[in-house]
Amino acid sequence: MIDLIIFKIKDHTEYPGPRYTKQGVFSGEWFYKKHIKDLIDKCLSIGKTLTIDLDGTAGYAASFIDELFGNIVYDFGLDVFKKTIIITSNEEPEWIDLVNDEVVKDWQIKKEKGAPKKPE
Amino acid sequence: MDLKFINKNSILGLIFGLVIAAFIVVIKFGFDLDKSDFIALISILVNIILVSLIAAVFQKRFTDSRQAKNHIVKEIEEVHRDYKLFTNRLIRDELEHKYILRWFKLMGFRIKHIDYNLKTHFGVEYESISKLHKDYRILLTNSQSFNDTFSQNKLKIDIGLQNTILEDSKNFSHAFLDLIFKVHYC
Repeated sequence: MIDLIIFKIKDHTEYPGPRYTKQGVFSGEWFYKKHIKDLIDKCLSIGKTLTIDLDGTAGYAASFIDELFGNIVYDFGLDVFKKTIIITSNEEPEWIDLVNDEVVKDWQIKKEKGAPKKPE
Repeated sequence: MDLKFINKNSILGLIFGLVIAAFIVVIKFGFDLDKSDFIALISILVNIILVSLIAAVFQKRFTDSRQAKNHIVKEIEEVHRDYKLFTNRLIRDELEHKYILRWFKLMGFRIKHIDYNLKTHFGVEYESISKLHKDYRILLTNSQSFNDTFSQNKLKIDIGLQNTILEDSKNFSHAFLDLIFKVHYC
């Protein structure tokens, strides 16, 4: 696959927000629903990858990262996540490790158990 | 004797002076000195030159190494001081969410810079601070308090989280001191 779309968080805000939309602006949930979900659908329909670039912002809350990437795993599945999503960060590559080592597993388990995406 | 002023020129000057002194001795007493006197004279000269060289070279290396260690220790102490200051302000509900996010990112850069220098120049690999920093960031920014108060001016953290942070700050202090000892004794 060749990159078709590079999505840069910094193009939308310098200050990424909290986990949920109700908690504040530019949340992980908002980014997923507003931009990422549709972009993945588009990438899948034409067989391309989506690169999500984390560099250039003031910094991230762990909850933002968890919600943004966890939702992808929950809605599209682990296989699609691995084949379609490329995360880049020269400034803080530890976020990539966090997603691959913890977020993906946690949300995969959540999905398999049939647990809701958000607490009721 | 303070040897830190010994440098290449002073060594060369010393050797040159000794050679001239030896030359004068040979000129003045040369024909009266027997073979054993010559050997003793040469032995003295060689010993003086060797001792001077060894003192100069080792002292310089030691001084350079000490200065480098002091520099990196100072950086570690500054980072430790910033951690304590950050935590004190956090506990007093004085910090904004955006400031916190930026602080964690910038502090991460400083820790990486120290890790790199420790590994490159001193052969010290120490990942405890990086790991504690990562855990601290996740603990705080993943918390209910942090996310629920994101739209407010200042972060207000609950007592349970405060206690966890204070408990973890002990681990930070231990890790920083441990690292400083490692640098001093490496």
